Amino acid sequence: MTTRRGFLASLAAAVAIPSVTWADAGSPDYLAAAREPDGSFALYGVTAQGQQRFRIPLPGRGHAGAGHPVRPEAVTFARRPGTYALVIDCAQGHVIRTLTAPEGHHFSGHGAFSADGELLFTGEIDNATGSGWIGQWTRAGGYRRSGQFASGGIGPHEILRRPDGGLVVANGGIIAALDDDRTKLNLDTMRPNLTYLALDGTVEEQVELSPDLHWNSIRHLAAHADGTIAFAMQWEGAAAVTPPLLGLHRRGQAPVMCTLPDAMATRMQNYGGSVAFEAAGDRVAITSPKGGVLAIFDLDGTFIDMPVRADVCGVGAAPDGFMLTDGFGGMARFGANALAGVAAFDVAWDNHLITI
Amino acid sequence: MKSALSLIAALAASPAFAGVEEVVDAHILPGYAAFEASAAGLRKIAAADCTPDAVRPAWNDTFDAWMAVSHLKFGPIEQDGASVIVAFWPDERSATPKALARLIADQDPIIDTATGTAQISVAARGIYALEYLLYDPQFDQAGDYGCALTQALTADLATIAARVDQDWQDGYAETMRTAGAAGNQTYLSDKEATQALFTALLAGLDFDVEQRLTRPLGTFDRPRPNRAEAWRSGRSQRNIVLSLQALADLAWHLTDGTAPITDAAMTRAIELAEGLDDPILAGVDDPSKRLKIEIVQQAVTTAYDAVLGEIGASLGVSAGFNSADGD
Repeated sequence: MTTRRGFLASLAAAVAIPSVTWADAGSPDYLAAAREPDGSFALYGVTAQGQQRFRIPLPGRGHAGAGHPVRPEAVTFARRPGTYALVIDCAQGHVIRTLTAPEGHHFSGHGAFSADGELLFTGEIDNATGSGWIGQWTRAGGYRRSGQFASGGIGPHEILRRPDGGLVVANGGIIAALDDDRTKLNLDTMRPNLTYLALDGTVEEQVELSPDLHWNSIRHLAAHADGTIAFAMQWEGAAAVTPPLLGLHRRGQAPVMCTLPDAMATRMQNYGGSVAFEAAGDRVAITSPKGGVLAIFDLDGTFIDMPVRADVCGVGAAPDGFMLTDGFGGMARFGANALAGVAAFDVAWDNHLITI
Repeated sequence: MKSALSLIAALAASPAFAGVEEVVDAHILPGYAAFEASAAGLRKIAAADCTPDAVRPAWNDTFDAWMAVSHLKFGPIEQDGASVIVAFWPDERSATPKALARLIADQDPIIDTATGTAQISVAARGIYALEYLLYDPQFDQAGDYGCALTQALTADLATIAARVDQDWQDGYAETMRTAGAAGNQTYLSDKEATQALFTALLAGLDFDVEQRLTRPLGTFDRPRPNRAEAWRSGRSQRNIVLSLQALADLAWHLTDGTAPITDAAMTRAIELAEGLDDPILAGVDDPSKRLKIEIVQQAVTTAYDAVLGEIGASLGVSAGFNSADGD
């Protein structure tokens, strides 16, 4: 429990010493939430070599999060439908602020910082209608709520800062009931989209899929340095259909759908869990924990490879390819053309790997 | 349900895991060797006489052998999607008969070479495509091309079986045995190899319940007997029994026979499946026989819960932290 005094003190400290950076938290390359063997949860900072740099207990299973671009601060969201998010000082190892979704909203589970780190944006969903909002929080005021604007669709999931500073939102299109099963209410009429937003909420561009793909919920995002956005999808249509689960979009153009050879397509189980571009290069990877595989494509949508890794879901950029985490504690790297083990932790890594 | 699970937890004296080595030597390698041998025999017989009557016994032998390894969805069988090529089922859109009919109508010469056959639709390859050629009246009059297609598909299947068998012998068996050793890039800890086998066991039981039983059962008002697996060849019930036997064998070797609740549940499921006396599950459409199939379905579900509760608890693993989580 953070006391008000403790909170103000840590806030004051953070403001007073602007030189505090991720180096003060051990310079982790990635953040990942995990379940511990005893059933508790924690946020880990790890390096690309598989070394643990910090471990901070969490009160429950998280979803995804966002890392501040400079300061050693991370926001982790409660599991959907969650109404709180925690701002964590990764250098000091404690929660410095609990963000509460406004009345009538719940968090989508993802968020993004502005390039200067002064604003935090959170994906939010209207409980009554499923319509999407982006909440804005100002760091300088102790992460106070400072605004909100429409996300441009129903059921937003991931939001991402683009290389040019604007936002891109995966509006998944699904209205889910707030029950334990998250019953999906509008599968017949769902129409997901990809929405480009300026930081003031202006809609800059929207992309919809062709009508036969309207059951393909757009959920996770990655951005290439050249501005190309990769979007990973989860299919809600007939199981006999194996649609593309990854799309690549360049502003002003039609999306390129990345298709798999038919013998490989079923292995994804119609479920894209996470997506990332490599740091230097043009390959993009989409994971499927349900299939225990990841699929790698080129920037033009050409299939390259489908490595196998049980329960793999987290994926982030690595210098020579991709870093991967799985529910059995493994960290692995896909470099030029093969998977290689990096480290085995005695935890279950949660869905997402956040690259700092 | 809760009390059943806590009973399992209370009774379970942590199974010891002889584990990976024994499963590889006693379950996996013999299984793939038998699959390779029967597929090679099938190729040879079809090459000599491609008529359905001549080919069916060897095809059935090959299917039997496949059932002993079909749950092992990791390693060499997943390379290039081989498991889907060998076993393209369920086929909800009837892609297999459509693809076969197209090849025959076009008299497509692509099957003249092994390389060509490897490029046809996966729906038209493997064990289930051969079932159509050997048993479905639609393909009775396929003539010389149908004969050539049977020969091409049996040869293709034998090639895949040989490659997978060889890959296990040449490297993947060692990869599993040395899980967690320095330099092993596939299994970063010994637990990961055990986990892969545990996952295969669970997924195999789930496949029996969901695909082999639940799909043909449909609903009481709308049973779907034509969704039973391999009903054309009368193998629906047989495949359930063979699959359960293979999974019981895997569970036995994985736990070195120290998982009594699992063993009892598997034995009961096998006995009930054997006792169905309904080769193609036609009984889904008959209220009195339908109940017996539903009882098998429940028994396999019970076996799944036993594996999860008894073996999973002592392994310290679940079905997969992320794969079980919608996100």
